[in-house]
Amino acid sequence: MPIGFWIALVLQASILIAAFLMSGRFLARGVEDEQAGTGR
Amino acid sequence: MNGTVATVFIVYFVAVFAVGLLAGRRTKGTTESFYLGDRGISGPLTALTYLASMVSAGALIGWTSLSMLWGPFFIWVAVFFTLAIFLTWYLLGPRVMVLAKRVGAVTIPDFMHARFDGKSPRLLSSLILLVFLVPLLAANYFAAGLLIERLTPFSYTSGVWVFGALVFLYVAFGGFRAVVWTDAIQGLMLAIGASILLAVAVYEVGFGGLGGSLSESNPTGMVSWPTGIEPGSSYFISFIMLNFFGAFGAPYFIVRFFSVRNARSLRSGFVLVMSLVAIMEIVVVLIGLYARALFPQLTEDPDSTFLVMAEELLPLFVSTIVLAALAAAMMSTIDSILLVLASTVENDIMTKTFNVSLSNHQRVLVARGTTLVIGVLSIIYALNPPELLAFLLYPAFGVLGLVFGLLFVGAVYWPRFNKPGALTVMIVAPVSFIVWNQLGNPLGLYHIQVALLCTVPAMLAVTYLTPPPPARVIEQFFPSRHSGEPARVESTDAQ
Repeated sequence: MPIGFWIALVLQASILIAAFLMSGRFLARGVEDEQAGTGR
Repeated sequence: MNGTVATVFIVYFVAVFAVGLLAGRRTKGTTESFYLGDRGISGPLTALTYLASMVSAGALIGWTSLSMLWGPFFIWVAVFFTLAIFLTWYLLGPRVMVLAKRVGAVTIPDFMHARFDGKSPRLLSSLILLVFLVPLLAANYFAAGLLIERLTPFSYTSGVWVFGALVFLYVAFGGFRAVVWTDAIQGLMLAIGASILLAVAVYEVGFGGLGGSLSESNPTGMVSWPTGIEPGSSYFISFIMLNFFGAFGAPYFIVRFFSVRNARSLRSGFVLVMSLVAIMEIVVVLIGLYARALFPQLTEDPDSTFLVMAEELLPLFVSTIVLAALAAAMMSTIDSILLVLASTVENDIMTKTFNVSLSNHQRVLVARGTTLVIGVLSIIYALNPPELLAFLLYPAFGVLGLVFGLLFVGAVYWPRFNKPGALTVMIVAPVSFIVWNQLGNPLGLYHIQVALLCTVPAMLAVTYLTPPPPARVIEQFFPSRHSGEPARVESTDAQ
């Protein structure tokens, strides 16, 4: 398989790993927005 | 089609239909319940419905055939598509969920009305939804009709009508909850079915044998980029952009954030949707590649790639379930679009623009009637596609994604973004896209590139040349900025 295929595959895996690593920050952003919305 | 296959197909559809009706029993007689499931939908359920609406005809029929034709390089489209889903959830998900709840927005035009402070953003965004979603709806009916004709004793015409009637019944009576639960089941079925199909293909060709088989079947086309779609070519960039914006800004995806219960639930959905999308996009690309290795003659009829793979590789019983799930996935795209259109006509045009005074119960009845009318119109379009349909179909995906992607990012991150700027996006993007497409995409540039190049500068210029939004809008949409203090995160366990 061409090298471009493997590079894309690694990038795809990186997006997935980033989603797992950033899910904590994702939650914090949501909570932050919720708190701002309710005025707490 | 033998009796067993017919039975599997019918039982599958009846089961999906029953789930829709059962889920819809919890729908109360209010528009918020009918359109958004009382904003109580869990994140993981939202993730599954997202997958089902996304991985429908476009992915399983369109992408497998393109992957089969383009070869291994098609995987780059999947990467940018996945990136778009990541960005839309990460950037828009939490904020849109909270803001829609805060301003009481039930529909996208509701949100535009609250953020851009006026009836014209509501009306114009409603018109864009109507003009560009109806062709998408008709295209899905068209694809479903072809599939039903191939797999069942029904003719194309009767297949489309039966299919349309089923979707109408559970959307009209079950509302958003019915859409969500049927979509979730179909998303799971598709993910399982496509994975089984890939596993069988890998077993047939051998795990390490794909590259060799591809080169053998087409020595010139698989070891280099196919002619005309090299990386950096205008066609390739515009194709990537169409998919990127189509995934990022699709209104029937963004509206799902309006209904999610809370931030914690949305986080579970984020992890699930990214896992499913990242894996499923690769599964779809690989199915196309294995199809090329196993059935090189498919280049004559690329659109049947997924169907031939399922029919040839899977046992009859399993292939019937997979193909029934494929038809059902088209159903899930149709039901999502249908509900967005019904809410736009009833909520935004009738009730809030023309001030037709109705009780909550009457509004839900009107929404059901609207679902019927739009459903029938789209079926008639699909049976006798007028010239206008073809004229609108190609730009529909790109225009919707570009317009609503820009509008939502600006609306929730850019306090200075005002009504004239938003109206500029809603006018310049569709007009430049369609005009350039009709001119035949001259100068080596494609519609979506030109639309982006025209829209962003126009949006910036008009926004900065006109007064900022009123203070109360800023206060409502950017409360921490307005008070001068960022909102603090006290706990990660907020409910």
